[in-house]
Amino acid sequence: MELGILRGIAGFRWAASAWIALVVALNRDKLERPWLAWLLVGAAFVLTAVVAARLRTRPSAASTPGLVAAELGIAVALSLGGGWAYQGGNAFSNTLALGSPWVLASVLTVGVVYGTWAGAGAALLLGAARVGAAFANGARDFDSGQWLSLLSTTVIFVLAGVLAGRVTELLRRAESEVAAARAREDVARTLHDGVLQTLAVIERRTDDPTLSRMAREQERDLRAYLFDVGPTAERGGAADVGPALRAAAARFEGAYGGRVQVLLAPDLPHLPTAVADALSGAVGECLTNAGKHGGAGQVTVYVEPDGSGVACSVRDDGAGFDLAAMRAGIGITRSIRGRVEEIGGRVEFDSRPGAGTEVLLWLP
Amino acid sequence: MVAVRVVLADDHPVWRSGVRTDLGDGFDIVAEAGTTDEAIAAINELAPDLVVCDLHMPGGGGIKVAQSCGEQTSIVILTVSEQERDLLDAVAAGAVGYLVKSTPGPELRAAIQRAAAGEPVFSPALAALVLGEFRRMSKQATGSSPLSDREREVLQLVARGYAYKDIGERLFISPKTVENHVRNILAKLHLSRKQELIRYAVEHGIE
Repeated sequence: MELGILRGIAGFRWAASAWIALVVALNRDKLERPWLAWLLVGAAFVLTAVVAARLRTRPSAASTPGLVAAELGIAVALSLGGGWAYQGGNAFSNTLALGSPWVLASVLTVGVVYGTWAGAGAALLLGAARVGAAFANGARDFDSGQWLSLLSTTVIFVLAGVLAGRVTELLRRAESEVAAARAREDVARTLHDGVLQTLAVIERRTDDPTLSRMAREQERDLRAYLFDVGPTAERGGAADVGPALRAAAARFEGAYGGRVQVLLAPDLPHLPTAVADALSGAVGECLTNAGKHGGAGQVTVYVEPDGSGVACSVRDDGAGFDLAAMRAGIGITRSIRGRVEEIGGRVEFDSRPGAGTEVLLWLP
Repeated sequence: MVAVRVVLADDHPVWRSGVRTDLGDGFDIVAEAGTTDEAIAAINELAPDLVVCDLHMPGGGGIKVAQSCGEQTSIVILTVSEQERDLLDAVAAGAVGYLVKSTPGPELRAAIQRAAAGEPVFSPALAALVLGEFRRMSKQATGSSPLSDREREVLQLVARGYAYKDIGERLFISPKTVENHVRNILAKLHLSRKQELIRYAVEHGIE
């Protein structure tokens, strides 16, 4: 990626080298020291060629500190050298800046390779060199227009250096994020094929209930880590209810030793936070009842979209109970109803002694 | 009783030996395969009664096996995870159902026995996936055959954790009828997917 930018600058540098050669050739009459001008142009071409060659054959050596310093040095020499190369009185003619596009390329290079601050620093250095060139050419007292001209060159250089550094930093960050995501995917695939399978084998083949439960917990944690990633927990006041329900399931399994299967419809939308909280709270209460009063071994929690709201079923294979007795006022169900009806939902119980219990919840 | 002839496909040998042990008598494992191509070759050569196949295998996995051989034999997909979209793809491609790898041995054996007898192996998780898929298709109004009210009712009860027998009792129909509903649902899913693919091909000018 950074290499792409450097290649772009290399192309720019070729064009800039050709341009300064043309400018020097056209202004040969105004030159006081032609050898100096041509020496500087020659140096610019040599560096341009060296960097271009390295980018082609050894990209890793195309932006070494030495090379970048050499480029900056030539840029300073180009800026400063114009003052001596041209005859006096050319300090503010538009020919004096021997190599402004080439100089700009060096600012960009420093910005890309060493970041915003270095880019700005190189720009200031070259701005100073431009002032030095004016002095060298014999100018002494600058009027405000001349100062402004020198300053505006410097400002353009600084902006270019800062921009190059900033853009490169952003691209570099984006690139590393993509790489991290890819690495995570790789890890997920490896864990999925290897570790999760092994945990499933242990869970299935062992007669030791503690070991089996441990394998199951690890499997659940690992799966949550692998698949519940990203900022899905909260988005614009709406929440993914999955993690909360799976946490409630894990608490049940830890406390009562049964198994809970949490099933969310694949098209279940994110729920308003109040609904998600009420749902996970109510399901938690249902699970507690199933474990404490029903002695359930297997519970299925299923949530699907229902019109503009959600429907949820919590079904266990526990002892079940007599609905008539429940209506008579035993408060098992009060906390479930409370949570759901508070936000405008409703609850239905379906149970018979010996046939398990199903709690149906509808939330708006 | 004649043993059920099974092809067992999984890229992890430890799994194949595990399933082999769980199945025990009554099943004759005629071939084991470690890759998708091996599995397809074994099925074509040996014409087994049943295939137990891992969802993820080198070369395409359960989806490809179901696509290639779903019409000539019953395919049960084995998977680590229940809520995966490609699981649905495998079932839509022609598998009769799937089993989660953490299913305890005796349950696994019972489920595979039922699959061998022609019963679709439908778990609550698969029912949840299939319900969502039909909702998706009806929202896109792609003209695919939607579920009947009764079929949706059956599927919702499966998702809520009821066995075919319990569903029959609740709906006052026989377990056999429940099973037929489930089979029809699978056929509709299979068909809708095919129609979707054909429509896609027509819309995009693919011959």
